[in-house]
Amino acid sequence: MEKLYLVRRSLETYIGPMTLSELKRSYRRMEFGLQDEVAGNRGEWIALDDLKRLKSVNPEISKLVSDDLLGGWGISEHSQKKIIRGKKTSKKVGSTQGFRAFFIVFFIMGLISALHFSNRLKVSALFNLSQRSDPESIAQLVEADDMKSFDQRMDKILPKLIPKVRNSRNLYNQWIPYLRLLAFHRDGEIPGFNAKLLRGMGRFSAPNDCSHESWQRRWNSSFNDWALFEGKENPRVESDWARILVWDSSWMHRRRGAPGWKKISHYYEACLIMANKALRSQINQGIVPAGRRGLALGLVERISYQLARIHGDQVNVISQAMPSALKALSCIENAEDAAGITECRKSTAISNKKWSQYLQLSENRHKIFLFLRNKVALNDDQLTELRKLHRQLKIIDPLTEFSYQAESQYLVAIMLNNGSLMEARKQVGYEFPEVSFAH
Amino acid sequence: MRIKMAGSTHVGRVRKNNQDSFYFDSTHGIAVVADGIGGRKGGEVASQLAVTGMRDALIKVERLRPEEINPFLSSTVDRVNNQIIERGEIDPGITGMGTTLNFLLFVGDRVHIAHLGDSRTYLYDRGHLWQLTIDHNIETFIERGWMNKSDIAPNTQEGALVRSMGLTGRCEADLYDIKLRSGQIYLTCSDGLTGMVSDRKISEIISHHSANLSKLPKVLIDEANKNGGKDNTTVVVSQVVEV
Repeated sequence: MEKLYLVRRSLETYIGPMTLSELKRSYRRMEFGLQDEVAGNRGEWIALDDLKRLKSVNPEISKLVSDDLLGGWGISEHSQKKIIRGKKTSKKVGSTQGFRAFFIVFFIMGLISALHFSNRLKVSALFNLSQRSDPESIAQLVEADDMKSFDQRMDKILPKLIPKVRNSRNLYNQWIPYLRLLAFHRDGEIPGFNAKLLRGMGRFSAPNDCSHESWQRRWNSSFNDWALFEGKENPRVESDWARILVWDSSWMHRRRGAPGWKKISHYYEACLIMANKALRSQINQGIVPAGRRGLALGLVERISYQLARIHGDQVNVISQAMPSALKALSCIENAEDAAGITECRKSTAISNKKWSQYLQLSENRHKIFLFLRNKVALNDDQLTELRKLHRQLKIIDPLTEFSYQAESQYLVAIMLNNGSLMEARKQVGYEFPEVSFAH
Repeated sequence: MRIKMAGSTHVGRVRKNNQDSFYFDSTHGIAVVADGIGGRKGGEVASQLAVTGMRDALIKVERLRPEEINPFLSSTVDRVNNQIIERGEIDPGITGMGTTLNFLLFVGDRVHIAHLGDSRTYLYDRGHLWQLTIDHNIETFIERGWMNKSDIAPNTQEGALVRSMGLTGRCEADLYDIKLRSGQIYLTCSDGLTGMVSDRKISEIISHHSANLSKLPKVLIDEANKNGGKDNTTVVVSQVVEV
């Protein structure tokens, strides 16, 4: 029985089953790439660029991949028997020429580097930095905030870049921050680039697809449900459009600067940007029914507030246009002290019991960080108070599913380090490097 | 396209009731298995709602263009998920019920799979077996780097589900598709089978019974029961006769 293999591309589409030679041909036609997975009969799924695992499980495929990679350098590992008059000898074919070519390339690269670092010749001027399309030059445009050039350059290189990024984990990691920036600078999608790849493979309490088009569909189909945020009925936020409105802006603020993102903090912010854009355009185009316009404006205010808070901007006044439950939530998240929180509850009385319970959860969370604000260390009495507050912290938010495990660990670390917030931050920083606890 | 299908379910040797549900219809090219989540009341209600919800939605559709299939499956899963949650809210005895889902739709020359939880779909082709669906449990997510161990509350079991229907408003089904080939067999099952019978044995049984598809589900279930039958077991098999 000839061995067959199945390839899983982008965790969605299968190619095959096919024989090894069919797989080789398919790979050479770029029907799948190195970050896709392959499996043999009853085998584990292994990413094609995981050469170590591939070698131990499917050595015939690892040979195909590594030959292909090494072949690009002109070094061949093939040996060929050459018959010389009655004698059989082995001679490596191609390696001498390959090494020569390798050293010539190496010498030229060394020369260019030497010239660049001497002050006699600026290589960048020679190669015209503005025309380069490597990630570093794109990064410089982003740092300089030259978004117009960034857009133009990305548009130029995109057709060739997308197939390469889809097929290479290294290239994906290098380019994904810029692809995301480009996408969410526009309409939240890139033709030919799967929404899941744009989002990333981690676990998110956010929709798979946060494109402008998907948000227009969501808003379009939810007009009649917006009133749930008046706080008179239960907080039924199962739908994506409703859930984002209760996303805790402090949680998102603590996780800004996620790896793989530039200028936009993370996928949550990207989703909010697109949701905001879609809702505004529906209001402006008159698609929102007249009777819902007020609510629509209130939802826009809430999203705008969340976006501001992600970046740490203090909001002076919570917009009165927000429906009651969202106004209360925003008020609590924005409060500067315990008195402010009490004022929030008084000024936005919510009749529904479940909303009240949820707002209480939000209060408990926010009180913890107000308590820690501007402190460097806690004394014994303060530690006792912290223990009380910690007991009120729910690890998983019941509506958003945001995990507060990092926050909980931080509080525990403060207690274990005799009240030292600095030591706690250092300790938790190893385990949760993407979360910032600076106050 | 011509598909032959067969399916069966059994309560097992330990459980008192069967929380699995299934349905298949070769005319409409639909096969579905759902496993109500154990430890919660109403698992059988949830799995039945999942099966009938998906079935009813697909049977009503006259035609789907290829680019419409995935959005349709996604939105149907979301809708059925909400129906399960709403039903749980009406009847406090079954609030919080949940279920896995493995749904197959044969259209054109491809099969599309919508998957949530740890029920599985396998492909059997020319003596080879592949697990097509990725289990939505903690163990798999940690292994794949999609979850940190530190994100998990202590004492949580590694087999605990990360995604399912009915438990939360967020219902992110995995969608897969594969081109069909004559002779292939797609096996969709609850974890009552995979927990009791190894992949090697499953492959062996399919190989011996592929010519008699109608018997295959029962043979597999009997094997699971022979090995202990600790859970409900449901199997649906779909054989591609002609593409």
